[in-house]
Amino acid sequence: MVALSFVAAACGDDDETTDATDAPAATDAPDATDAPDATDAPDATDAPDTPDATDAPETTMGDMGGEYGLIDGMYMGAGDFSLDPADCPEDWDPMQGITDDEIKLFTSLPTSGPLAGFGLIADGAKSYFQYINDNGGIDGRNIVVDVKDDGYAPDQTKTNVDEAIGAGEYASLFVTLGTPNNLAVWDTTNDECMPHLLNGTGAAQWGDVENHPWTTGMQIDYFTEAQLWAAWLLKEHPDLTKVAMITFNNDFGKSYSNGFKAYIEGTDLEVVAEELHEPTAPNLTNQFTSLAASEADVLLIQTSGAFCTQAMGEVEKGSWEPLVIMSATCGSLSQFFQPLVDQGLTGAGTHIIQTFKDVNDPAYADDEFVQLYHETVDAQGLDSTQSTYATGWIFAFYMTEILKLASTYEGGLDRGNIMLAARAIDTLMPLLLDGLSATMDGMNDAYLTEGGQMAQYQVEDPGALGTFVKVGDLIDNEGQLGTYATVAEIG
Amino acid sequence: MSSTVTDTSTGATGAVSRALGEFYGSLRSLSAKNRRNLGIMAAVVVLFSIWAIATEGWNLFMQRVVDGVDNGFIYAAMALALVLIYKATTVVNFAQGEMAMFGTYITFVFSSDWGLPMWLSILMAMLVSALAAAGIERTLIRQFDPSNHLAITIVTLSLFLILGALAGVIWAYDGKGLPSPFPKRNETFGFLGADVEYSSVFTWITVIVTVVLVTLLLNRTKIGLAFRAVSTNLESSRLAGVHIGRTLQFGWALAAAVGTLAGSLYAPTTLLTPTFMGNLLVFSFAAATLGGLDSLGGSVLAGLLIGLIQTMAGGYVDRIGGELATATALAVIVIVLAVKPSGLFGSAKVERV
Amino acid sequence: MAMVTLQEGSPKHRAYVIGAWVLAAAVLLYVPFASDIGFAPASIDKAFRVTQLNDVIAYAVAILGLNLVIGYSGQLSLGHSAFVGLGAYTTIILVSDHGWSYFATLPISAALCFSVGVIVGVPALRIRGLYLAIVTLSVAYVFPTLVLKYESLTGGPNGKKPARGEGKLEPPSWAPFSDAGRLAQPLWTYCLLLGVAAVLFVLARNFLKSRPGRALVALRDNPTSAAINGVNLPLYKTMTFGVSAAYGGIAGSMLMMNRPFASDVQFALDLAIFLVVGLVVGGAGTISGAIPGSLVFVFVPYFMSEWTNDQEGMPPGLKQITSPLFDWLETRQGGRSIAGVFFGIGLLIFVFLLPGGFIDGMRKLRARVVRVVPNPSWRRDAAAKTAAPAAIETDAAAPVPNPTH
Repeated sequence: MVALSFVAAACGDDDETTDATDAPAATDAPDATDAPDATDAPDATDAPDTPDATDAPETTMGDMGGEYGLIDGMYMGAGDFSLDPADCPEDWDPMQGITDDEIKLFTSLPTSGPLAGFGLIADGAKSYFQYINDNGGIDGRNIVVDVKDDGYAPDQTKTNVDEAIGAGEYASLFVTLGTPNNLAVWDTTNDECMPHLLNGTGAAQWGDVENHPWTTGMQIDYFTEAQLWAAWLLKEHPDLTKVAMITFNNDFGKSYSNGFKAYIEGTDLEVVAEELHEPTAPNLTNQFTSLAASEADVLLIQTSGAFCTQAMGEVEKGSWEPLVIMSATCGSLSQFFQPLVDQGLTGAGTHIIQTFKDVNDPAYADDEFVQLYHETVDAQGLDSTQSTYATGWIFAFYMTEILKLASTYEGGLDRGNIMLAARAIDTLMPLLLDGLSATMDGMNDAYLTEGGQMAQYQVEDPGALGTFVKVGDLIDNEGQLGTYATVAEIG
Repeated sequence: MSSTVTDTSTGATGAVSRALGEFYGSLRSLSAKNRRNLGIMAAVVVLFSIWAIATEGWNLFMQRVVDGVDNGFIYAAMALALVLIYKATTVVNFAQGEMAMFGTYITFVFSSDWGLPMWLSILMAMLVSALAAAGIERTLIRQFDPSNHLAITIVTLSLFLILGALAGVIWAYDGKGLPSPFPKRNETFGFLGADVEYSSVFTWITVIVTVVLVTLLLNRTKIGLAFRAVSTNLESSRLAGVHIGRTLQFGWALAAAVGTLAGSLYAPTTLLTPTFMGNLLVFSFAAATLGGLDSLGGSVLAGLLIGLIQTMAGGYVDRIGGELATATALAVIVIVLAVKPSGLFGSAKVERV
Repeated sequence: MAMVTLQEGSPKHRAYVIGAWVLAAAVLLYVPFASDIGFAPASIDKAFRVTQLNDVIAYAVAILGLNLVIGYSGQLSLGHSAFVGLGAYTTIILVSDHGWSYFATLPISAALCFSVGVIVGVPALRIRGLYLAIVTLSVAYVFPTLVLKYESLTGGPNGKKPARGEGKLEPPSWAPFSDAGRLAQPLWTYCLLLGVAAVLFVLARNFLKSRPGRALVALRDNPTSAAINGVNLPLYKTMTFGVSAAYGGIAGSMLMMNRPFASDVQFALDLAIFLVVGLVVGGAGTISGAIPGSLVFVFVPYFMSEWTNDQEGMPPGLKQITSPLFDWLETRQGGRSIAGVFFGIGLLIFVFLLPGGFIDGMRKLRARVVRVVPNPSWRRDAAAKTAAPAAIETDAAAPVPNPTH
């Protein structure tokens, strides 16, 4: 079991994540640097860890034309992945949403209501597509995104996606937000052969290539993020054995819980207390009283949003002093740590897993892509220090790479080839932490990134925000997670 | 107000003791009427406490009591605002929570953007919300006959939608951290085995003082007298020459100010967002109802009761756990109301047909 | 003064009544086939519009049920989201896990919700006004937490839906539109839901004209005198709550027939509140008010949300006025929430202009054009057979003064 589950690679940014470090913005735009021309990107194959060489988004992909694509009526892709158009509805149109000068995409996410902050991901994505379009688009085609608001309600997501599918004018869905929301629509998208790409959620299900070939994720799942915590604890803190959990009572929280418990079977680690909370809980005081009574050594904060801040505050105010590991969804300093500072607390000592570079971290101020991001977003009239836009850029970057790759396939850019490309992409997202990679391989590897870096939040001046400092080594288990079948077996 | 109070005593001491008398008056009337029920309830509480202490120890029990009281006072503060509005208009003000939320953002603006001290910010925000609520009453509520409950309900629902969305547009949905207005924030002291936050104790005191002050306001001032008259019998008050509109306006203003105070006390324990009052409101409604809707002291006691039930049920009963603690608290209220339809401390006159 | 005066029961009046019914039927049948309604950013396919119309029908049934409690028996219930949810989950669980047909689940939903409604209605016997509101509010609040708690049954936070490829309402081959492709299934659902709703509306009308129905109105208007006149107060109140809950349950089942997916957030407190809004907009104490109420419930938030995300589909004049505002809002994180502000302001304006609701407003308008002179002898005869709509509307006694009297 444990051997099998050493897929602890996973860590990730996720739907709720905006990995921000709200340090001074690194927008010292070097006037000499021309904006990298994205259309050049596929040719560049420089080493990933030499930032000065990474002029532009790049892929290590060669020209796959002739090998993959629409061959003898079947879509044949990398890693034994194939699609049969005969399985699709009779009126399925491979060129739907793709014209000579436009590629239309659709997304449904919350742009109003309590989670409206995530709606900015769509604005960030539009910003990157704008940049791509200004630089020639995809072989002259502009990428266009239509956004609909679902307020994070799964039934509304279903309504929106049904409407979009019915409208018959979109090539693909992308960055649809939320686990229940995507689960509500993925049967439909797969039955309709609608590419359903880069879901904005870290559920392990998006690797279910066997049953849902038309659906992919972007971030690593919460299940394996929690396994990474366990691996890190066993390695770095073998003396700490008793674990307490505060868990959001939904699929998101329970994924963490299940992943962690599956991993620690047979080890010294033991879960001594777990408290669930509802999304409607007024605060977490009651839960923390029970958790503190367990006197555990480690606290896992498996929740999101304002609850993360409350949880950190409860730990800091109480006399219980566990080692704290928190969901990567709460990594945004401006969103989740600044309120603590305002309340006279700090959140210092909290650990999270990081996957992406923080565009506001001074350490990356000289990174070319980070500079490109700040210049471009600011020039478009948006506030580039709002790190959710950077999250949008990440999603849009992958989408763009998929479209570029699909264009190289036999039969050219069509929806079948988009889907093949989504499962074959092997690119170096410039915002990924150095050493991590984004690779998909058909039926062999259905997860994009499977690695991360444990970091601890450290504070020097209690009246200001601190920074995340790396603790331990980067773990990259790219390709080891396989597909959802593996996860389902463990979990 | 079930206790009879004469207007003879003077001076601050007399006023406070009178208010305290008011506070406990409802309790007295309860025990007089329902001694047996109270006895059964007390026995249940004692047995439960003994069992709880035996299972998980004294310290944890005390900590849970403190948690319950802590939440209970916050519920009570908001319930106070609801009771005032109910007495004024006899409708459910759906916008009460959003008004309190908006008021709390005003506190935030004063303290964070203007850099004013927290206490001053809260007082100024209370004043601003009172004026705004008076304006709302004048322009939106007074247009309707007080008996047209559905129309007024829809007006409050509209306000609920408008204020909630407007706060999102103005302040966005990222949580804001509102600091506690009290000294020694985030510090705790040991009390009988429990950790108690200093600011919690100050919050409890503030809520009690507010109840006393509001009670004094209603009992010692002319407008207070008019308010009580109107909330007791609208028609008779009209005949007696009370200016109904202005009196109800006073009720709205007072309720908004108390709501802003409640929000500003609650926000430091969580994050200030445009939806942060939503979850509190159900419990405050419950506290107001359980308290009998027309008893200010009763709503405080009911708030404490709900806080304690929630904490104890969630903490000690495995099958309930954190998830159903809320449901349990609400179930208890429904049962209480089924047995005693005008709440624990309400006078029967509020039962309206 | 009305332009036309009709003697009740006269041939002209009959023609007027029949004409009104034919017109209504024509609209109901025509609308789904000509469903390019309104302004929309993307080219809307008809199938989706019909799905929305199906929602309208289902919510109209829920609002009608709520009206029995609020409009006719004068009790404020804020818990109807729970009954709609209970019905929806009953249907979706029976269909998904036990292979039932949708129609077979309708009586189960109705019976289950009736029972739960009666149970909730029992405290309602003793509790009134705000006290009742808080009890029902608690029901609404607790329902989603129960859905989450009993995850194995309800699917928990991920929602419940039939297994892939199952649970579809396929039209029979004899239906004229069975080869309409994507449109066939929504159209068939439309026909089914319309049929169910028609039966429920007629039942509600008959119920309100019957002795229990009249007793209810008497109860609302003056409980004491109703009791003196021998109205069995507890029985009627509890029954009304039960029937109302059953309507809510069937509405939930209908929602599932239309879009077989249930989640906890769908049946949270917001739904209860918006049902009350729909009810008041349509008109409390009217049967037909459920339809405009439901139309507002479904379409107004939809278009508000559409336009805040994409102003393409806005009516041209409006677009010019609002575009500077939207340009400014675009740069704000919570800017798109403005839809809520607009909806709230619209609601305020509405309640100021038409405090009695839409139907009341229409009646006032109609009273200026057509005046029906009552004819008691005709009405007795007609009551023996079937009643005409004009008579129903006046009999259904809105709480506001009815101008046609």
